[in-house]
Formats: sequence, structure tokens, C-alpha cells
Amino acid sequence: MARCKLSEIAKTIRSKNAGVDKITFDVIFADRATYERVRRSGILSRSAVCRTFGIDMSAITDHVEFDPALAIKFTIYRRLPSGSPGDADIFGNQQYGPLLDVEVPDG
Amino acid sequence: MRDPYTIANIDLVTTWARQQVVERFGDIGYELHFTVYGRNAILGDREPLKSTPAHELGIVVQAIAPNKAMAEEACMIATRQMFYARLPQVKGTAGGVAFLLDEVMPTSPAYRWTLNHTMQLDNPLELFPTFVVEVGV
Repeated sequence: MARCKLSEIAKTIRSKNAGVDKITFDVIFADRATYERVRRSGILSRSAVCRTFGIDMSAITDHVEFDPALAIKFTIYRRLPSGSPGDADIFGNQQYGPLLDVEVPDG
Repeated sequence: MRDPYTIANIDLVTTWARQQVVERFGDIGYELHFTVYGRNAILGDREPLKSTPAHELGIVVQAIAPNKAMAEEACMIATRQMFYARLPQVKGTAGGVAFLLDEVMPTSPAYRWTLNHTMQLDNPLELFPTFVVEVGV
């Protein structure tokens, strides 16, 4: 498979509040081959996610590759608690944008 | 805003507008937020495209103060002074921003989240008692 963007091969890429001070992300695939390709590539590993969002490792609270659901899920701390003055995404549901353009290497 | 030079120097404009509020109310005792849509409103420092030039920006100014009058005045000053900000290379001289509304909109009273409380339990179900009741037919 030629290189492409994550948005071209993932079924679901989403973000959502996880409590008041975290945001959780889900990247879900339609078939096992695609899931394995992305998982093996490391483009959604803890360190890769940190690079994508420009955050420290300590900002990631959870990261799991969940084989039965063909899903990679991770959770990061919010910049501000949901609804704080200056928070412009109170439900955290538009934080996934940078994941769409993540490059998936050949494989 | 639509002026390309103003857009390229948006931080100068908001800094200057904030300074006008400081001159009226001082440094503390209120909050002022400039949310820059079209740059990084939603992701803030986490936005990888925050340096990608935009041809148009939308800015929301929010002020929070101990009373409504002060909040409204701080918000009005910050908004109006963006309009009056003068950057040397801007060709237009009749106002640096396009207003959607030339007034301040109050929000509802709100609480600030201060405590995320947890409870230590011996049994995770003890806060969720269940009962089986026979009601007959």
C-alpha cells in the first residue's frame, strides 16, 4: 500500500471530553490489515502523538492499542478545564484535526 | 479582520488592545481573553498549522470581572481598541477590524470548576444500591 494520510484509511477519527480535564481520542479501522499497518508503523505511538500535538509525554494519561475493536485510543490532559474562560472547544470534539493529516508510510 | 498586514501582526494588535485595558483597570482583578479563529482558537499551542497564513481572522474577546459593569467596560475597551490600533503599513485608516456587532454581549452567570472530587470506597457498588422487589401481577 502506498503512503497516504490517516484520514484516507481510518474509519473513525474522533475526540471527546473524558471528564473535565482530559480529552480522549479514538482512531478506529474497518479491517484488521489496515489497523495492523498503522499500529506497526508507530505513527500513533505515545511519542508520535506527542510530536503531532506538540505536547510532553507527561500530558498523555492513557494509550492503548485495542486489537478486538481495531482501535487505537489515547487520552491527554486539556490545556484548560472544559468551559474555562478561554476554552474554545468545551466538549473537546474538534481536537482531532491534526490526526487527519498524519502520514502513513508504505506498508 | 481582512487586512493582510493586520492579520500577520495580530499579536501586536491584541497586545496593544490589552494594554489599553491595563491602563484603565490595572494588571489584575479581571480576565481578558482573545480567541483567534482562523489561526489556533481551537487547539491553541497544540495547533500544528498555527503559522499557516489566513486571509481572514475572526476574534472573540471575552472579559470576566467581579461585576458586570467592569466586565462590559473591559470587553468594550479591548474590542474597540483593536478597531483603533494603528500599524504602520496598514493602508486603511477607518478601522482595523470589521465588527459583527458594536456592543458587548453578556453571558449567563457561571461557576468555575474548582474541585474534581473522588470518593474512596471499600466496594465499588456501595454508592449504587440495587433492590429486587416483587410487584406481583
